[in-house]
Amino acid sequence: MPKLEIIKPGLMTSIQDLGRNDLAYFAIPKSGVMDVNAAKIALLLLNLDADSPLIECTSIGPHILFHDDGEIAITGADFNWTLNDKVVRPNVVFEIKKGDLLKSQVAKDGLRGYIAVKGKLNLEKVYDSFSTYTNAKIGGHEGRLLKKGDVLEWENEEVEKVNYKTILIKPGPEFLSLSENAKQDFLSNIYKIGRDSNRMGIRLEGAPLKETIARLKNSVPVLPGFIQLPPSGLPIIVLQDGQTTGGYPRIAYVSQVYLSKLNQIPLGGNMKFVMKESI
Amino acid sequence: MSRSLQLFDSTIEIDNYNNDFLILKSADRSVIRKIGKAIFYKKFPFVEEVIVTEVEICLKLNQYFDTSKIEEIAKIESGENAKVKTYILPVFFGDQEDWAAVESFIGLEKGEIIASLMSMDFSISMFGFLPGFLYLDGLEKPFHVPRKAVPSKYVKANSVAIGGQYLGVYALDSPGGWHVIGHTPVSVLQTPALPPVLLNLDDRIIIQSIEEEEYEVLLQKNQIGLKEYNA
Repeated sequence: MPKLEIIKPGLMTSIQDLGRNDLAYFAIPKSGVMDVNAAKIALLLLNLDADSPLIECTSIGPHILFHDDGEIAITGADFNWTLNDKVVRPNVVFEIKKGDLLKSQVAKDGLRGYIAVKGKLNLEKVYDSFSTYTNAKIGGHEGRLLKKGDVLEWENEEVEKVNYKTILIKPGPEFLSLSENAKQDFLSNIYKIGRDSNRMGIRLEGAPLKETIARLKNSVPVLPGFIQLPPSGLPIIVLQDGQTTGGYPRIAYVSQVYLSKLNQIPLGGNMKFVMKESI
Repeated sequence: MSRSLQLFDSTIEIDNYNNDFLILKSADRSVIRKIGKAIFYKKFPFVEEVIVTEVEICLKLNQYFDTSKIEEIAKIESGENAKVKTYILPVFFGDQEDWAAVESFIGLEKGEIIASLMSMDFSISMFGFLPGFLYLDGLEKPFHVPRKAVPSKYVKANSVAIGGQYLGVYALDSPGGWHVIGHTPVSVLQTPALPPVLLNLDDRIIIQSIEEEEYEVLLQKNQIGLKEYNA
């Protein structure tokens, strides 16, 4: 597993997430990041789950040596971050190479900063949270602030080595009307984002489904992310400026969190649908 | 997951799509309109969007939704029905290129078709597609010209068109699959007013054919609204 090592811990550097919920009843405090917005920006920059842990720095930041390659994001107050003595600004994602040294000084224009690592930090949740609560010695890394010599490991997310992006979808209202052949083709085809795509919708290019469904008798509701199947057999994905009703069968819909990923695929880029069975 | 509810003396089928959205269906179209309107104005905290069509209501859900909330929908009461109003929609039936297909499908000549449209009783059956688009009910069966196989990339704003069982008014420039037969010089879309069309579902529309001259005169009035025109 890839590793990072704390060379200098800084003042009060600890592992936090968005904190514990619904436990004040037992006198267990919320804990968690002190600047939720900055922490969320770091998570969003790396497309991490909302309950992922990150490193919180306070007033004096840490020095961190990376033993492996990876990707990190830094947010919050500017601690005069440098990577191998070159200045790095907060609020961007940057790649880390094996042997890179991230240094910081005293926070300016603020007090707290966050370092998020792409992947899954190898830590255990306590009371359903990664947050360090030092008074009770629970959570984070051994229930305490990080200190010199601590090593954190993380699991790299599976990198998509294929030349297409995968988009998670769920069955739509007319999915069951598709023939088995059509379902299979729909979920195995690799589609290209069509040149006619715009803020209203994406027209997919590729092999048309041979078996489609008849046009619906009535116009029915559609939401951003809905995938329509016109008689041409090439699906259309309704987007942010999309119409609110339509007459084409709605065979599936894109999971909300995947809409952002979908909308970042350039025209001509390749994608493939993956369907998880409904709950 | 599917279940049914009794609402306004009708059986409503509710399908829950992974707590992402609900689809409510009923064979009774008037009840769908009433329920859709009541849900929209109720502003349930767990509902983010309400889309009402003739046969379905779609409710986009958020994190406040859980399946017990369906009971709250079951308790909804109908609001007061707005008084139905009648408006005259002036249309200049020009030499739009879609006329050939329309005449050949219906089997009548343009003049006869226009006369028939003027005698029909249209009502607003749903809002949808894009802002200001009107779906008008009341088109007689022989006039149900099917939508185009390949939609046109550009339909001019204020086009009047036939799409299957509906007569429609495109308030905005947009792509469109309906057969365009005329243009109205008045505007139904009045952004940023809310609702953006100052009309209610069920309001009645009577088509009035106007000559090109009158059309041009009305156009000069800088998009006079349908209500103003009828005042």
